[in-house]
Amino acid sequence: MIPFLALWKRLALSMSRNPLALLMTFLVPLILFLFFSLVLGGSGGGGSGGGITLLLVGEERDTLPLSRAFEDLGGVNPSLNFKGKETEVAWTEERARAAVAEGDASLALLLPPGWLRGILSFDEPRPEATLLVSRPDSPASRIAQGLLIPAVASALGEGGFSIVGDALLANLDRAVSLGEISVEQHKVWSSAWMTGEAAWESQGGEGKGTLGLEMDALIPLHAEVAEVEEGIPFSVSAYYAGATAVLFLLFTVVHLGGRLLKEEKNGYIRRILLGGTPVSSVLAAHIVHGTGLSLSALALMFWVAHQFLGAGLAGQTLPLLVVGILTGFAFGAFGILFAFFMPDRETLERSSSIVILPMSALGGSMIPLFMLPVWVQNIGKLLPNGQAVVAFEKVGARHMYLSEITPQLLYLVVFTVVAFGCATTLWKRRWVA
Amino acid sequence: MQTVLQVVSLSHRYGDTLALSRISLQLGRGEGVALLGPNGAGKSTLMKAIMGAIRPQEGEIRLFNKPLNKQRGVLGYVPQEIALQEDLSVKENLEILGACAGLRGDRFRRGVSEGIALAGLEQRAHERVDRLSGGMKRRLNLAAGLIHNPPLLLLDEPTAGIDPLETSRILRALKAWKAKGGSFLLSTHRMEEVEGLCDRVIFLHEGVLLEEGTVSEVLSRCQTKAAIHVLFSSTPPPIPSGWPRDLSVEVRKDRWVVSTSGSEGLATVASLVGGVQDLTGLEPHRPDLGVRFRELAGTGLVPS
Repeated sequence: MIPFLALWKRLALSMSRNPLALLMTFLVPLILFLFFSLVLGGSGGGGSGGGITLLLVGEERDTLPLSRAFEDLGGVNPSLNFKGKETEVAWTEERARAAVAEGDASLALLLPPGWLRGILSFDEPRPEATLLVSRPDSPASRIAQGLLIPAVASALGEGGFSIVGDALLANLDRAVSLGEISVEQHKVWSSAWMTGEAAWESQGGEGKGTLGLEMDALIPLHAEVAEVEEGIPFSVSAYYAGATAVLFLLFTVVHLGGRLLKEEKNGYIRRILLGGTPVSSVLAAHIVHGTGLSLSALALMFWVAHQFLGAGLAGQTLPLLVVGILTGFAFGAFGILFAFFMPDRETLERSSSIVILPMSALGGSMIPLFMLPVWVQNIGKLLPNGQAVVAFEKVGARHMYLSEITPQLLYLVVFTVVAFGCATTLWKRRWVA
Repeated sequence: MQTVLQVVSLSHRYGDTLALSRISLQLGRGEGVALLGPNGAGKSTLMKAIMGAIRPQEGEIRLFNKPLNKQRGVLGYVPQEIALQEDLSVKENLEILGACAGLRGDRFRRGVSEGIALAGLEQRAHERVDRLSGGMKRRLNLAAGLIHNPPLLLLDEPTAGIDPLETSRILRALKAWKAKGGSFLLSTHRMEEVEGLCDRVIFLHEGVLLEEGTVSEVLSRCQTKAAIHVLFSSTPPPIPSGWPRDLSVEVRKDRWVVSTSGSEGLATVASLVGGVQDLTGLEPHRPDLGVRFRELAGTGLVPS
């Protein structure tokens, strides 16, 4: 057996026989991860917290009633989180598109000027509203479109409901007379309108453009899928699988660094070096062991997220593996570098919480980075754990491809090379005259 | 005799503190040398320099007549602490250290089995180290240092914290290894261990080599002579009038110190003090390395 493998084997054997270390590396992070996932994110849903966030953009004075109508509907339907004109954010089309694209809102209704008035002008070209959705088939999209008809009816004022209904029926009559639809279809659709199911049946929208005959005939609207920039859907459980593992891995690698200090003090390292093993092998064995632990812990977390919390990670195995390996190497290098600056193991153990907890807070292990102020995000992105969390968020929580996390991967590679280089040089100076 | 280790005029400072001052020594094949001195004498610094852990500011160290940095696997090390993986078994520990020392194939298997035998742990080879007694751990610590059969072994207090029985087992093992041609440099302040084990002793004090020689040479230079202490339960009585003139006596607080030695001297003194009041016993004292060291370090005998 070559020295490197022998040294790695001793660390692995030692770990496997230490119940406390196993507990702290695997079980405690798993419990914390489950807590974060279940309490903060439910079983894997969207970034908007499980409810439907509808943005209304471009409402003018004449369409303000629509906003009120949605507010009223929100009162009846608690899952609707409506953001209209009277919110703290001035919603523009650009902001609304970004919000939907980034998963901050489920959908946005973009209203052109004179839209509400135009609804009743069946004989003239009517301004068309745009319903911006992240996914055309999402339940949020269906519910919002379903709510649109009663909202419009309510917004049109007293009698508005019947006006809209009459107009729809007149439209259907005309379609029958022109032979566009059959009498049977007329019966089905008019009945659907009367029972309030019209909007549910009017889903023709498979992406841009069409919402089907009925909706189109009644309300001038087309659905548009927003350009997804930041990976949708966002899985809270997958996010916390990565973020929690990263937090505990920092403790694990720092503890491994502490072992190095202990072995330096008791003469074990000296004994190994005198046998002819190079310093780089001693350190590399620590890093590879740290990487193995990282991968095992991450695999466990993501498996639980996938299997029990609906994170849907089946197609993300390779990206997660790559990020896991690079994270393991980067953290391993961090651990041995951190240990170098500590006088002894006891000081290191005492200092680890003081260093790691703020690092983890800034790096997004406790609260997702994108929810933190920009200046905190900027600091977090300088840290290796911050980059690792972002990488895991993108490939795990947002199902992005490896090519989309090139900056994070590059950062982790460069950090590993620099930290391992520095650590090897410094330890070598200390151990070999 | 083939020279294994040569240290030539070695000096080293830690800041303003002189740790080693022009130390020179030589060690031949099959020779055991003890480095004696209190804490801070420079023993550890000298050991570190020989192990290549520090680079002395002056002087040279040669192993088998080659510079230190060109050597690999020549040195074995037995540190004062138990430098083993406590949660691994006896055999696993030796296997890992054997692999790290570059042993392969038959040499590896032989090294491991000989190490287990040397430690006397054949029956407990698969037991975790943290379940062994202190003495067993010490023996394994020694075996681990010898796993790759190095020509020169450096030992730092190898018997610290164990009982006399275990101490003698370790010293016996070391002696047996030395008889096969192994050389060692033993750093200790348990001077009583040295006499039957080491060929030569070196006294270090505050980084200075005070004295070097075989045990008998060093003891022969001792200014304190052998004596028999006559102990009393109260203030010693005056010397009897018929006391022989050639047997000098010094009266101390609770005893007489009679300058003589050996069983003949003891019998003579016993017959002379037989009837003296308040006598509680006789204690033969002979000068040892500790006495000699105290003379050198404490009475201005330090060489300039």
